[in-house]
Amino acid sequence: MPDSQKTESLLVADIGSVTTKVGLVDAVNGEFRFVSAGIAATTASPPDADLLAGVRDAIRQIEARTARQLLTDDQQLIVPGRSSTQGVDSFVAITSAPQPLRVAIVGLSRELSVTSAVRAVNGTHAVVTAAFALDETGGRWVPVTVPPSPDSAQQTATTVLQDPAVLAAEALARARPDVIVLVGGIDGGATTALYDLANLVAVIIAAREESMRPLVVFAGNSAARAPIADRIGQLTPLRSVDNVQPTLESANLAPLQRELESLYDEKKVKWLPGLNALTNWTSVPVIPSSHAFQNVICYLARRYGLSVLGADIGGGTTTVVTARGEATTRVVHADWGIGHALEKIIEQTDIERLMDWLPIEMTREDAQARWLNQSLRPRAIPVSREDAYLTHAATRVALATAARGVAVDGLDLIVLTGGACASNSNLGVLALLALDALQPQGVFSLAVDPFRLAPAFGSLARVNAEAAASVIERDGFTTLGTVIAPWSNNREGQIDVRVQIQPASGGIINLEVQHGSLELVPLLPGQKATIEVRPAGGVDLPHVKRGVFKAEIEGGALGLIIDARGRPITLPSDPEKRRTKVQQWYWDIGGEVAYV
Amino acid sequence: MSDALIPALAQTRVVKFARIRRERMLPTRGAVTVTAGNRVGALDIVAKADSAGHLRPVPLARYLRTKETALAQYLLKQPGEDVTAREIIASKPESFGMLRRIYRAPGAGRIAARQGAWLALDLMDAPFELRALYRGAVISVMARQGVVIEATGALVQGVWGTGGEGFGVLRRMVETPEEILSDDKIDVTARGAVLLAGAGVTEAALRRAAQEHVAGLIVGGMSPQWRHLIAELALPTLVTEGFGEHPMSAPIFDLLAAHIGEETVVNTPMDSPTAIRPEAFIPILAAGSAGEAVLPPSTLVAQVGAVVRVVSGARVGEIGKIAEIPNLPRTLESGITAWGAEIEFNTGGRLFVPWENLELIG
Repeated sequence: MPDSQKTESLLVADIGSVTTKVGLVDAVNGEFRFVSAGIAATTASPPDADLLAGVRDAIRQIEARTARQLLTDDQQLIVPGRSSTQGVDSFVAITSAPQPLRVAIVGLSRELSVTSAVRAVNGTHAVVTAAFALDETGGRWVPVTVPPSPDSAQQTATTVLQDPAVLAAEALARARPDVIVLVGGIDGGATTALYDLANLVAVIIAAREESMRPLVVFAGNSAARAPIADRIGQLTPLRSVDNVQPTLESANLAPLQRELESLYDEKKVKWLPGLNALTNWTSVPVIPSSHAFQNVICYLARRYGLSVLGADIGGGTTTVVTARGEATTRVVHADWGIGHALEKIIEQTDIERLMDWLPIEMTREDAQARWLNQSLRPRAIPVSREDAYLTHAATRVALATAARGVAVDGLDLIVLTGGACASNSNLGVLALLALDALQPQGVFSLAVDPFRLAPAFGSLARVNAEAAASVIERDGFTTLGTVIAPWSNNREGQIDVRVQIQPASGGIINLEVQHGSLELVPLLPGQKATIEVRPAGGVDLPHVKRGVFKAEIEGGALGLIIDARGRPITLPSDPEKRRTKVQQWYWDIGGEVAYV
Repeated sequence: MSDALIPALAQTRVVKFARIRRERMLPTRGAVTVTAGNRVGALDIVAKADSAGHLRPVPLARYLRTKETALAQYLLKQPGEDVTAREIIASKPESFGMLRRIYRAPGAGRIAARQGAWLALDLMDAPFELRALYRGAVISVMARQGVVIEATGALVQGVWGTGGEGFGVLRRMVETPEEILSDDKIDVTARGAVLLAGAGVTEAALRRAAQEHVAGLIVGGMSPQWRHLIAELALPTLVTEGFGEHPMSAPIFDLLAAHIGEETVVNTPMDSPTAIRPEAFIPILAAGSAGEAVLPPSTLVAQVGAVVRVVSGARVGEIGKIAEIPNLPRTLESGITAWGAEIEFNTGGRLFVPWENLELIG
């Protein structure tokens, strides 16, 4: 029950790279509930170059819907509130609008320290713009074509041999990063080569004007800290953190990730145009959306004792968080999403991988043009079925790539949020996208964030933990249902599982599910049922005792989904058959039905 | 429907006569050659830098086969000093002084820094000269970095640019905005001109345009396959509608067609959060348009009667007016329920279009 001493009405804003969402949370019948939302274009870039403009647009929508005055005549938020119809008691904001931190990695070994550093960077709002590994710079000199000099008599390009170390160092100098991460050496190991690397970093930094020099984070052999500081500390700010590769066998990513997050805040978030004015409205700092989302996933895991995976597929960033007990992992793919970042997906992904998920015939060129146009106009929503299929395909690839390396087995709950939820109001499609992209095995629940405000709700905990918990539990997610996804090496058409479903009220349903198919058994939200699953030979499902898996499940917006397509999902190589198969799955899960 | 519930739409400016301000910045620090208040032509140099900046770190101690602590004694040039191409920078005696191991500068430039075993050379590319591009008045100077120029003229914003900028006389290469520009239309008379194309351009036409050194290209659509080719050809290209084959929107084509034969700027910065949108600009002296107010382009407002362009979905690229703003959202073929407006198209017909798929144009 809301405490009168605490804040009762709260406004939360999630300022994304494409859209700004603002939600109003208020005490309703003694509970904190989500009341209304406004969605507007994010205005951090020119011509507005002021993110407050988008926040105000979204707030004005809430004013119009609730008849509650939130802004003064001079467009300032009324906080604290003056009455139940004027203002709010607190305002909290999160953001994923800033450009990612540009990071260059310099290390001794590609296989060890550089790889660990890349993994660490991938867990933060940063992109690797260059990676220099000393062990790759030996060997033969390589031929390089040099264009003719404008003031030279020579008119044709020439080929010269170049030192690979110089080529790599030039690439590093060209990358113009915000931050250089220097790694290498296990703790207690040799340091000589590391000092040579430090000299390379120092010479690149010294050649830049002071105001344009990148900052350096040293995350290598801790014994080298002082000599590294001697070489670099005079030229640019140097921060030292624990070794990212303390031993040959183990990596320690967290200290470097914390430092990069702190730098992201200092160098990107705080420089967002309009942020200073926004901070006058809020009593707590604006934090990255991925942090807030992680808090929500961890809360769900702790509150219900579950293993949870959360995926936030945005326009510019895709975040995957897992929480199993106290263990949490977070992967942030900055500059990777289904909005303006779609161009990067097109650039870096084999186009056939995207085309494979289209249930319709379309030329590569047409599909590529439409995806690129979506990246030019990231707010545009799919109107036709064809447009929707294209968005779905991009979403699958964005999520599958971001979740590569994330353990997706043994989960109890998978939740989806972000722009993907906005563009796919069909809940069956959202379930299909999650299953196709993550391909999890086992028995788990699926949920989506219908208002795309779950991360922002999580950030409420910083001013009112009770409000955050209440609104996440009651309004944060829509449960789609329970999924049974066995592992199987059967052939298409063979029986994978026999399922008996006994709802609390109603008759028993018996199903034989063939390999390669997707079955949906409607089970309403709140409706309970007992299920018995009998896997056939060659089929594996966790927690099977004496050949039967028994559980009591609860329904959802979709019900019970039995995904017997095997893992990994194999698409037919024949294009016609592949399209038919993908289309069949859309039909099986109700992905062609609009939820109005 | 309350006005507050109508979202702020994206805008594409297609303005017959406006005053604009544009930053012109050096890629590295240099010297600004004009002062505030100067009037500048498009080709006037407003700032210079010795080089666009090409840093080459060299493991000099390794090349000389010496220790980093001994390197200093073999250096003939010190950090901060200029070097010419092939000039000996370091020399180390070997075989009792009978031979010398030397390192020559790979090009003209400056010794930028030395640290340990490494030497950084700042190699000169051609000196970088920043041209005004926009004919107008310098209204502010950022020391060693660049200037802000205020100019008046016709402005057309595009959706995508290849990077780069060009300036030349605008030449019409197609009869209608639906036409594709082919190579047979481009000849030597296109040299130095900005070409106005229609719905697209062929690969051969792109290569021919580059061969004839055209100053820029303005086109409605662009095949996604030509993105990398056009970057290689270094042909400043402004795309007004998007990827694929798209007839250029009538207001854009008509405005540009009205300025055929006039000097035109094509400025197509690569996408970045702080960059301006790619644009074409035709300078017009304020005094030359008596009776017209010279003001910054006004803000467009989404309301009944406003001119809009469809940017996605059915009838993409078509221009129309907002005929009605329904009070309820509608469900689209994709299954998505969206708020939007009824659009009456210039070519006839009416269609409900979600707000997200509309932009104000004008």
